[in-house]
Amino acid sequence: MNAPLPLGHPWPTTLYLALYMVTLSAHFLLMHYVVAGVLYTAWCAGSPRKGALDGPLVSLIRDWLPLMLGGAITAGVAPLLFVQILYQKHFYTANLLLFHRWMAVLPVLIAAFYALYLMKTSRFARWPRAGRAALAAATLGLLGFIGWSWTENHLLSIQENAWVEQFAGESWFYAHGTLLPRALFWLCNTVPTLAMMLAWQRRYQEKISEGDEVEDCSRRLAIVAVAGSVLIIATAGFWAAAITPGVREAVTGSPNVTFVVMLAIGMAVEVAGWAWVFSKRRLRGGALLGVSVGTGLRIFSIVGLREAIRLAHIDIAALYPRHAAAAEVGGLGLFLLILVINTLLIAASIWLVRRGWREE
Amino acid sequence: MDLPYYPINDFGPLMKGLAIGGLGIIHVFLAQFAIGGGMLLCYLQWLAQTGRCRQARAFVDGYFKVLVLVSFVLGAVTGVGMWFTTIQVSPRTIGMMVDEFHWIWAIEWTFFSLEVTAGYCFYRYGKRLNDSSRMALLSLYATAAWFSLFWINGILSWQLTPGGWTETGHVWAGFFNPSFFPSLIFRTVTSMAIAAFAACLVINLMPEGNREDRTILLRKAAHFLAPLGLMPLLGVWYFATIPADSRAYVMGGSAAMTLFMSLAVLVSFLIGAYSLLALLKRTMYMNGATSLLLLALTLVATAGGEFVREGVRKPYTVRMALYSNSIRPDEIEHLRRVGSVTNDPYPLLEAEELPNEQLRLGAKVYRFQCSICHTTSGVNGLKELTHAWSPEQKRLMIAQLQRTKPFMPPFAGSAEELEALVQYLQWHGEGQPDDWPETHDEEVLAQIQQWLDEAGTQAGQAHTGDVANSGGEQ
Ligand code: HEC
Ligand code: HEM
Repeated sequence: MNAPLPLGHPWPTTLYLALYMVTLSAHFLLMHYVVAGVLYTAWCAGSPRKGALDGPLVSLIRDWLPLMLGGAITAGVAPLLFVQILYQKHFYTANLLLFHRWMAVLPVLIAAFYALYLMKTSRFARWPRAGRAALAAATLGLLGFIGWSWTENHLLSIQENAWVEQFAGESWFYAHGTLLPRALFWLCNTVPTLAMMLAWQRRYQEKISEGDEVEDCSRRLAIVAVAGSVLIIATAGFWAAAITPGVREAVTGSPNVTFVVMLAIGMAVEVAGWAWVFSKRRLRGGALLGVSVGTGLRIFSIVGLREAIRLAHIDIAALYPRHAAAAEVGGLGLFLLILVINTLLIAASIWLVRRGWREE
Repeated sequence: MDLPYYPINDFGPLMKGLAIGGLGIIHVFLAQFAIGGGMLLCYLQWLAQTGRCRQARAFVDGYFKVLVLVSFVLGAVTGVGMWFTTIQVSPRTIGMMVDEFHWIWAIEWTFFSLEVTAGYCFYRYGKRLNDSSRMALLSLYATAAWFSLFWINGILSWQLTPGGWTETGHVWAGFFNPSFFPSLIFRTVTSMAIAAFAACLVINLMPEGNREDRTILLRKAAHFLAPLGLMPLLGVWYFATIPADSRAYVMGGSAAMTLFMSLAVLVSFLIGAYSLLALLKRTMYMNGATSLLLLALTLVATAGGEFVREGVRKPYTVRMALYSNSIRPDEIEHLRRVGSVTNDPYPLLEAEELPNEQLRLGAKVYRFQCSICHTTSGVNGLKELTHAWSPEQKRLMIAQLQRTKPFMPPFAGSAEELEALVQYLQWHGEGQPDDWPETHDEEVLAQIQQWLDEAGTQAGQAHTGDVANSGGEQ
C-alpha cells in the first residue's frame, strides 16, 4: 500500500477514489472562482472610489459569477455521488447530525445565487456605497456559511467517536480544533486560483478587442496571486500546528508526502509564472499555461492531502468489501462511453459560440 | 449481520413529509418546466427560422431568460437539496439507490453538465448567433434535459416496481422496470404542458408585441398541450403496471391516498379539458391570469401525483428490498432474535422523562421502527390509534403488524422489545404518570413470541377491495 492516493488499494476502491478526487478538484476550481470573486467584489464595493465596481477585473468577475456558481454546484454533484459510495455511513451520519445546517444550506444557496445575479446588473454598481458593500459582504457571508458547513460536516464525518456525543448533546455545531485553520487554508487557496482563471479571461478579452485599448491588469493579477500563495503557506503552518502528531505523521510520511511535495512544486511553478507575467507586464499564453499547470497541481494535491488526513481517521480497509460490492453493479461501460460523447458535445457547444463570435 | 444504525432525528412524519415532499414537488415541477421548456424553444426556434412565425424569435430569447432564472437556478439548487433531504428522511434508502445505480447517476450527471453548458452558452450568446447555431444549442439543451429525466425516471420508478431486479439484481432489469415507460411518457407530457402554460404567462407579460402577435404565439405554444389528450390512456397504463396492493390503496384502500389521487385526477381533468378547448377554439385568448391559474393547478396535480407515488410504496421505500423504517426484509429474523435496538448506539434524548428502563427500551423501539410514519401523539399518533385497545390487544396487533395494516412492515424486534413498546404506548395512553411499574411476565412474553411466530417475517398481503381488514385469518 505504498503508493499515493488514489492508488494503493484494491481496484474498486481506487476507481471510486480516483473519480472522487478528480471531480472534487473540478468542484474546487470553480468554487474558488466564486468565493474569491465575491471577496474581490466585496472589496471593490466597499471602496469609496467612484466607479470602483466598473474596473476591468471586477466587471469581468461580476459578469461571470452566476455562471461560475452554477458550474461549482454542477461540479459538486459528482463528488457528492462518489463520497456516498466511498464513505456512506460516515457521510450520512454527519449529515443527519447536522440536520439543521443542511436544511439551511438550501435557502442560503438560492439566496446567494440571486444575489450574484443582482450584483451582475449595472444598477448594482450605481447603488450607494453602503448598500452595495452590504450586499456583497452578505453574499460572501452566505458562501462562507456553505463552505464552513462542508468543512464542519467533513470533520464530523471522520470523527466516528464523536457521533454519539454530538447526537446526545443536540448541538447545531461541531467545533473541532482544526476547523478554523482548515477553513482559512481553503479560503486562501481560492485567491491564486481566481487570479489564474481571470488571467485567461482577460487574455481572451484582449484578443477579441484587438485595436481597442485594454487596461493592463497583468501586474495586479500577479501581485494578488503571489500574495495569496504567501497566505496559503501561512495558513498551512497554522493547520499543521493544529493537527495531532499522528495525523501529521500520516501526512508527511511515505507515501502521502508525495502530496506535500506536489503542492510545493505546484506553488513554485505558479509563482514563477506570475513572476514572469509581472516582469513582462503581459498575459502571455505560455506563462499562463505554466501557471495553470501549477494551479492544477496545487488543487489536486490539497485534495490528496485532505484524503490522506481522512484516511488517518478512517479504516478504509474495512470498507473494501462495500466498494467491491458496489463495483459489481453494471453501467460503468455505458457511463464511460456517454462521458466521452457528452464531453465532446460540451466542447461542441463552446465551439459553436466561438465560431459565431468570430463570424460576427 | 451488520446493519448500520443512524442517528434518528424524530421530528414526526409530518415534518419529514413536508420537507421531502414539499421540496420534491417543487423540484419535480421546476425540472419538468426545464425539460418542456427546452422542447418548446426548439419548436419555436424552428418556426422562426423557417419563416413560419416571425414573432417567435424575440420570444425565444425572452423565454430562455425566464427558464434560466427560474428553472436553472431553482431547479439545480433544489435538485442538490433533494440529496440532503432524502438523506435526512432515509439514509438507507438513498444509500441503496446510490449503491445500485451510481453509474446511472453518473451518466445523468454528464447530461446535467451538458444541459448547463449548452444552456448558458445560449443564454449568454444566443442573440449573437446565427439560426443554425441557435438551433444546435437549443437542441443540445433540450435533449440533455430530457435525458436527465430519462435516467432519473428509471431509478424512481424502480422503487415502486423493481421488476426483474428483485430476482437478478441486475441494473438494467431494475432500470427498464414495468412502470418505466408509462411514467417516462407521462412525465414528458406533463413537462410539455407546464412549459406551454409558462409560455402563455411569459407571452402575456412580454413588453413588446401587440395583441395580434401574442395571439399567434399563444396558439403556437398551445400546440404543446395536445399530448394532454393521452393522459387518461397513460394513467391507465401506469396503473396497470404497479403492484396490486399499491393500486388498491388509491382505489379506496387508504383514505388519504384515495383523496389525493382523486384530487390529482380531478385537477388534471380540468387542466386537460380547458387545454383542449383552448386548442380547438381558435378565437380563445388565454390571458395572464388564466395561465397562472393553470400553472398553479398543474403544481397541485404534480403535488397530488408525487404524494401518491411516495405513499403507495408503503410499507417499502424500495419494493421487496427495503421497508420504510430502513429495515431490510431479510434482517427481520435476525432482529427478532437479537433485538432491534440492542446495538443502536444512539441514546434516547428524552431518557430522563421516562420512569423506568423498560419504557426507555420501548421508546427506542418506537424510534427505530415506528417514528418514520407515526408520532406518539398527534399526526398519525399511536396514542390516539391505540387508546381503545387493552394491553393484550396491543400486543396482538403489533405482533401481527403487517396483518393489522398491510402497509406496515412486520414487527422486527424481540418479544421483550414488543412488550416494552406496548408499555410505552400504555404509559402514553395514561397521561405519562411519574411512576410506572415494569412488567416481566414470562407467560406474556411467550404469548407474544407465539403471535410473532404466527405472523411470520413476511410482508402483509393486501386484499384488493378491502385493505383495511386483513387481520387474523389468512
Ligand atoms: C410505513 C409506515 C408505517 C410504519 C413503519 C408503521 N406504521 Fe403503523 N400505521 C401506518 C399507517 C399509514 C397507519 C394507518 C393510520 C390510519 O388508519 O389512520 C398505521 C396504523 C397503525 C395502527 C392502527 C391500526 C388500526 O387497525 O387502527 C397501529 C396500532 C400502528 N400503526 C402501530 C404501529 C407500530 C407499533 C409501529 C412500529 C413498530 C408502526 N405502526 C409502524 C404506517 C406505519
Ligand atoms: C458555493 C457554495 C460552496 C462552497 C463555498 C463549497 C465549499 C466546499 C469546501 C470548502 C469543501 C471542503 C470541505 C473540507 O474538506 O473541509 C467542499 C467539499 C465538498 N463540496 Fe462544496 N461547496 C459549495 C457548494 C457545494 C455544492 C452545492 C455541492 C453539491 C452539489 C458541493 C459538494 C461538495 C462535496 C461532495 C465535497 C466533499 C465533501 C467530503 O468529502 O466530505 N459543494 N466544498
